[in-house]
This record gives sequence, structure tokens and C-alpha cells, in this order.
Amino acid sequence: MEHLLNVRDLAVSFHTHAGEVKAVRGINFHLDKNETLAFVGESGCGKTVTAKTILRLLKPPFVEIGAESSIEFQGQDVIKMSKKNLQKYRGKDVSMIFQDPMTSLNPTMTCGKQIMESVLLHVTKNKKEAYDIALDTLKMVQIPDPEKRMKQYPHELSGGMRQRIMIAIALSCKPSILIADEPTTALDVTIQAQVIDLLRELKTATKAAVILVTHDLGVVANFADRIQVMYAGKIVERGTAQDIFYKSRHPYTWALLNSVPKLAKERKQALYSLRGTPPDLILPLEHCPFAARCQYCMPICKEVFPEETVIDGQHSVHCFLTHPNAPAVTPLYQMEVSS
Amino acid sequence: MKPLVEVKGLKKYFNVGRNTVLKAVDDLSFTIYQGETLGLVGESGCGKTTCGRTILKLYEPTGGSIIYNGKDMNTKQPRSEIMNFKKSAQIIFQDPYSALDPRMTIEEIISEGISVHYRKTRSETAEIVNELLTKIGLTGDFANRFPHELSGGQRQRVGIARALAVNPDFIVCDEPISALDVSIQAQIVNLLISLQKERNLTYLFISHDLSMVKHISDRVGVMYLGNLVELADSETLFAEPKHPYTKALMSAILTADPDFEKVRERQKLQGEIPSPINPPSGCKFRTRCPYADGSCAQTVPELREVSPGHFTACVKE
Amino acid sequence: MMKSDIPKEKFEIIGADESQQELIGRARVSYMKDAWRRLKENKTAMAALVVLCFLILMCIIGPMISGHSFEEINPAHRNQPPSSEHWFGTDRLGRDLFTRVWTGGRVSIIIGVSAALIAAVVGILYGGICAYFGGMVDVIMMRILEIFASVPSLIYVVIFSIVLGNANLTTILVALCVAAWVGPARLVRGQMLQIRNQEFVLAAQALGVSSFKIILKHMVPNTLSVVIVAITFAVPGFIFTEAFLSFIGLGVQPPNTSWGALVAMAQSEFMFFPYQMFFPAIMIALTMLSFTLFGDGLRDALDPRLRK
Repeated sequence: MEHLLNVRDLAVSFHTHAGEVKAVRGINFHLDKNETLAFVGESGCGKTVTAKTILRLLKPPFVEIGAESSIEFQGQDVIKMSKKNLQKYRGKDVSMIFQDPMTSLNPTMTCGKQIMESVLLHVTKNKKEAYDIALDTLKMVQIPDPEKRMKQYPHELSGGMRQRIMIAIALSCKPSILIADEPTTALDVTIQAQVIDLLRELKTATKAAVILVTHDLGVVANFADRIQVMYAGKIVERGTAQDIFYKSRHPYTWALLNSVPKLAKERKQALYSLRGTPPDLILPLEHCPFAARCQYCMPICKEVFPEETVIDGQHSVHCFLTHPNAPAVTPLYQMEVSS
Repeated sequence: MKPLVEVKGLKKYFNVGRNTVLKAVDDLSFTIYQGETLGLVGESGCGKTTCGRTILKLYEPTGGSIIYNGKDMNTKQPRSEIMNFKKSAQIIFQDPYSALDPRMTIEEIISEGISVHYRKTRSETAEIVNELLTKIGLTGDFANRFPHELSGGQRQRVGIARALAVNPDFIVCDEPISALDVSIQAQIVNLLISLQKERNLTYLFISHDLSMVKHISDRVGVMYLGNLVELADSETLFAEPKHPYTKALMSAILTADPDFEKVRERQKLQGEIPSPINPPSGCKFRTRCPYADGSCAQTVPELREVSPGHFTACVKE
Repeated sequence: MMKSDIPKEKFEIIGADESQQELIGRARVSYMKDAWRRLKENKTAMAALVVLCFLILMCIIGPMISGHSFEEINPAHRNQPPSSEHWFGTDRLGRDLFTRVWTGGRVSIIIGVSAALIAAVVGILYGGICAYFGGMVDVIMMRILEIFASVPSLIYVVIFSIVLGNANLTTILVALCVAAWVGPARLVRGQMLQIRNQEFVLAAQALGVSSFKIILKHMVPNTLSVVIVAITFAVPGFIFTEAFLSFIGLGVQPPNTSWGALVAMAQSEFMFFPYQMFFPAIMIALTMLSFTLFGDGLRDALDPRLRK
């Protein structure tokens, strides 16, 4: 089957005075129609850089995309796209929701104008039509009093409302891919749940594929079909939500799942915690980047980066523990499959 | 159990613009007992941070009293008493970036409080800083570093060491983990728990992360628009929440368990938290409460004990 | 699939590497070092710095290398054009202009830099007190400041120069600084109001650190970069004001001189001996431009938002 988006050997690095920071180190993945693909990992693992690169939002000369990298969208390589095509691709084909709705909205423009802006650019030149489309999108994101909101400025709205405006802007041109970068991180708990539910409904309604970038496993568990766990610029494990949450094979995934307190668990017990911090991405890191913090680290882990092992179906992992010669280990902890 | 901090009718209003008053904390009362962790949860703007800072007298309270170790800190106290209070009650902040002075070395940051409260020579101070660094899982090499050379989790631990340096009894933890990554959050929480056991510390743990609050706290208070709406033993609160807001908060927790999330019924709250400048009359939660009726607009519900140790402020209960 | 020829002993669990766990990220770069690196990358600012250093060096050694004293009147050599004897020519009293330009430069630069420093110190104290104490103290002190600011500063300067009479370095400095602290005070107050709400200041308060120490140890060092930039930008302003004062005859009195006085002196002869005005004027222009460009570079270098 033809994939909607096909990313090969994506490598992105930043030039800083201290040296070249290799933020994304050769990752491969694809995205199919109508699915939600989640990138999970801690800050600095390269998940946001990956998302922004898909939209070509990072600009040279400080950013360099690897020579072998390709991002294929509908037969076109996004990396080699002309400026004109890129403009159409951004907003019309792929759009993005950012983490902080306050700084991503223009404070001097009414919300209506901001939604209409991209509609006028991509869909229609007729102002009346654009207004109607904008209004419809606002209704779609379930904002109370959509007519009133059209005339309001971002600072007049609450955080949750602003995030809905952001979502409306992103969906106004009916993109085939929606990239959501930490869409709920800046929001309160009760609003978070509202926004996640909304995104889920919208995904079903618009049939857009979603790339979800987050560090919040709760959000992922509620929204993602497939999950890719990233660490230090590499994808270390990928699979369906079932694979990752209940049958994960990578020690880093175990650690992530374990460091969240379980509501049912005993209080004041020490949480499982990884010691130390992720490696500096200036380092070459030819071996497994997680080796220094991994309690199952083996000598081989410090020599080479393990190749991808397919566990079953979509589930695959980069870890020497899956090697036939490796000792069997009981995973730290797996989510119990609840009845 | 002996009460360490008694907050009675605490009020903190901010003047915002002409004739508008923001009631960040409005008539708040609770007690923190020696050696326990009291969790305080609520959404942004509910006044939990203001509450923590007012208890430490970082903000001058508008009204009410803060009785610390039997002494009312909101009345005029001799200087020695104030300094004792400052030594005994400390705070850890949310943002590990703005909480450390960028122009000071880690040693200067940690030793700042020591020079205020203790007479120590330079080498003694360096020795204490070194011990503290080891305690929080760093090494002595960090002493001469600047904050920007450290990661978020390392900075947060330096913030903890700064508070510990004066040997406090009581620490207000103001969202100490919200700005950190998941695996680092666990490090910090583990550190806080082990320090508590070792030094018999009392914590006021402020957070919006309910699962973390439940994990670390003995008792939990839920705040909404400057008031406590429910206060109970941690287990009880999570097992049998009484107040509709508490129920909604619990139901909004997204757990890392896809199968459970698929089958669970979520009680959705409508709308957002109203502005604390012009809060609703009567019960402040009534505008979002699924059970609200006319009576809720009339009376301000009092915090009542519904079962031993379980308080809630809802007229329906 | 994975290569299966890896020897078995490579698969022995050794666990996490304890020694590697708390690594300090990058090599140690102190704040000032980092700022200096960024400043060095800025070519315009570095060129300005070189010009400034050259000007200052010449002000120090210039009067000594020409072989003429700045007061030495030589009626035989009046109004001479630049020559090997008098590199910048002579004025209408036959004094060597090369010597006089650099002697005047001393006065101009000393006045410019010290006035900016004094204004900044007073401004830091005033603004710092306003910001830290806030409330009524702030309101009253800011109203006083506004009264000062509402009168054009040149009027103060002129009035003070006349009242103090007998112009010398001190009186000119006093006149220049009477109203000049207003700008830095506002700047520092704004900056400190921001810093006051930073959590490290709250932490210091929670630790019981005294107000005075908090201002001195936290607030002032963190406003310093802004103040340094402000000083650099203020220096050319003061040099210009001094030149203006001297030009209208309220500045340095002969035989002492400054760039402004030299320009004033040359004014009457400008039609016949333009070089007499050219040299001091170009020095004023060069100094002002260099300070402004250097200040620009300094602001960019010290801006914490640009740190990587």
C-alpha cells in the first residue's frame, strides 16, 4: 500500500559554536491515511525537530538536513520541494498545532482573521466564502458563540479556547496530515481531557492522519494508534499502542512507563527512576545511546548500535536484549492488561 | 499528631488596576501536621501557588493567620523569631531555570542561606555544600559550575539543596516537577520522599498532577478559585471523592493504559475556570457543576467534616 | 536481522554505568566568556573597539610624541596647514593642533565616560530602591524623577554651568549629571521589577537574606549587562553635550581645551583654514560612532536570549 508520508534516513543537525548537535540521527518511518502516529520521548530526544522538519520549518544555515534524507509526500520529496510548492504543502496538505497557543497566535489580529488568512491563501479568494469556512471550522472545534469569537482577539480568550482556535486554524484548509506538537502540555487537567476528546472526534470527522508529539504517556494512551519511542535522536522502539504499553521490549520504554505513578499503587514507594540524564547530542554516539543509563547494559551495547529486530507485525525494537545470545530478562514492569 | 502549620482564614488579595481586586486566596483554613505531606491540587489560577508563598510570608497576607509552631507569624514578631521561621520553613520552585541566579555558581547558590543563619568558615561552608551535593546525587565537581551548564533535573536538585542547606523542618514544594521530563520527575519525587524519611521533613506539595500528588501525599486538599473544596486522607480522597469538582478532576486524569482508557466513562467538565477577579456568587464551582441548582448561587458552602478526617464544601453532600 | 557471530561474553549484563550518570553537559563556559565570544564574532563591534582603543591610546601618548606643548604659543607659526613640523597644522595663536586635539580628547573622553558612569551608578541606586521597595516609595520616587525628566536636560546643564561658573572638569561633570541619571534609573527600575519576580529572588527572601544584600547580590549583577550597554550608548551623548557646552563657551576654559572647544575656536577661521575644524570634528564623529557601534555589539553579546 502507498503510504501517505514516507520518511527515510532522516538526519537533522544544528550548527552551534560548540560543534554540530545531531538532533535526529537517521530515522525511518511512514504514516498512513487516517491513523495517529505518536512520537514519545523526553525533551531533546528529537521528536519536535522531526515534526518541524516534516513541515520544513527549520531553516538553514544553522540547521542541516542529511544528504540521504528523504521525506516523501504523495510522490514528492518535501526536502527538495520548491518554495512555491512548499507554500501549498504547508497549511494545505500538512498543518501543525503548537504547544503554546498564546505565543503561536498573533495578538494583534482577531481570531477570525487568523483562521481566514490560510483559507484565503489555499482554498478560496472570496472573502465571504472564507468567512463561512472559518465559521464552520470554529463550530467544528466546538467553541461556544463562534460568531462572537471571530471578532475577538486571542488575549480575550482562555487557554483552552485559544488552543481550539489553533486547532481551527490548522484544520481550516482540510489538511491530510495534522501535526500536533505537545497539544495539551500547556493546558489544565480538565481542559486537557476536553482537547484530547475533541482531537479524537475531529480525527474521525476529517479523516486526517495525525502525528502526535508528546512526552505525556497518558495523552498517547488515549489517542495514538501507533507509537514510536525516541531517545537521543533515534527511534528505539515502535509498535501499536498495545505493543508499546503491554508488550514493550526496550528498557527505555519500560523506564518511561514505570516512572509514572500508578493510581492503584502503594503510596510513597520509590518510583522507578532512571538515573542520570540523556547524552549530549554533540557526541558521536556510535553505540546504543541508552547504554550508560540502562540497567541491562551489556558490553556489546557500548560498541555498536543494535539493528532493528522485528518482534511481530508492526512491533520492532533496537535492543541487544532481543539477540538470541542475550540472557533472558524479566521486564522491569509491564502495564497489567486490565480486564 | 502535632500541628506544625495552622492556616486560619487566610486571605491574599492582589490589586489589579483601579478598584479591581483579585482574590487569589479567599478564606482558606487547614492544618499541616509534623512529618506529613499535605498535597494541594487544583488548576492554574486556583490560588495554590499564592497560598504556598503567603504561608512563607513571601507575600504579605491580606487577612487571617498563619500559626507556625504555635506562633502567629502574621502578627508582629521579634526579628529573631522571624529569622527562626525563615530558617525553619523553606521553598522549592517550579521553574528550575528562573529559580537559580544565573550569575552565581552552584556553591554560592547553595551556601547563600548558610551565611544568613549560621556562622561558618569558608572551608566549613564548602564542606557542607559538598555533602549536600552528594546527598542530592551530584558530585563536588558541580560546586564551581553555573546554573546554565546543568540540565533541568540537576538544577531542580540544586534548588532542593539550597532549601536543605539551612536545615528546615517544613518545605513548600511549589510544583517542583511540572517543568521536568517524566523520568526526571521520578528522580525528584524519589529524592523528596527519601529526604523526608531521613530528616522528618514536613511538606506542602503543590501540584496539578493528581497522580503524583496522590503518590507523595498523606492528605490531599483540592482547591478551586481560592478555596478548599475538599480535604481528605489521600487514599480516601481518591477512592471516594465527594465534591463534584474533585470527581471531575479525577476523571480527567489520562492514565497510561490504553485498554482502560477505551472503556472508561469520563465525566467531562463544561467550560473553563472563571476569572478570580469576578468569581460566581455562592459556590464558585456552580457554573461548571453538573449538579448545581438555584440554592448553590445563594449560599457559600462551608468546609464540613462528612466523615472522620474527610472535609468537603458542597451543600449537596 | 542481527549478526549472530558476536561472541557470547559480549552479552553479559553489566548494568548502568554509575560513573557516567551525572555528567555535566558542555564544557564550562562562563557568562562573560560566552559574551566575549559572541562579541568577537561581531566584526563591526570589534572594528569599533579597535578604533576606540586607538583613539584612547593616542589621547594618552599623542601630546607627548609631537614635541610641542598644548599651551605653547608660537606667534611665528600661526594658522599653518598640516606639515611635517605640525602634523595637524596650528591654530591662530600658533599652537600645535596635533597636541591640542589629543589633549582635548582626554578631556572629552574623560568627561563622556565619567558622566556616563556617574549617571549609571546614581541610576542603579535610585531605580533599584524604587523597584525593590515598590508601593509608596516607588510612587513618590518616580514622581520626583518625572519632575526632573520633564525639563529638557540642556536647560539644567546650561543653568548649572552658569551658576557654578568657573568651568572646570568637576563643574561640567556636575552640570551634565544633574538630570542624566533619570534615563538609567528608569531602565534599571524596569529591569529590576522583572528580576524581583524571578523565583531566585523569592528564594533568597525565603532564606531570610536581607533586602540590601538581595539588591546587591542578585538584582544589581543581573541588571549589570543592561546598564553596561546603556553606559556605552550614553558616552557619545555626553561627549556631544560637552562639545556643545564648550562650543557656546560654557565648557572648558582656555588654555585648557576639548574637542568641542577646538571646534568652537576653529569656527571663526573655518572659511580660510577648514583643517582646524576638520580634525577635532572627525574625532568627535569617530568616537561617537565607535561607541554606538560597540554598544550595539555589546547589547547583542550580553543578551541572555541569544545564549546557546
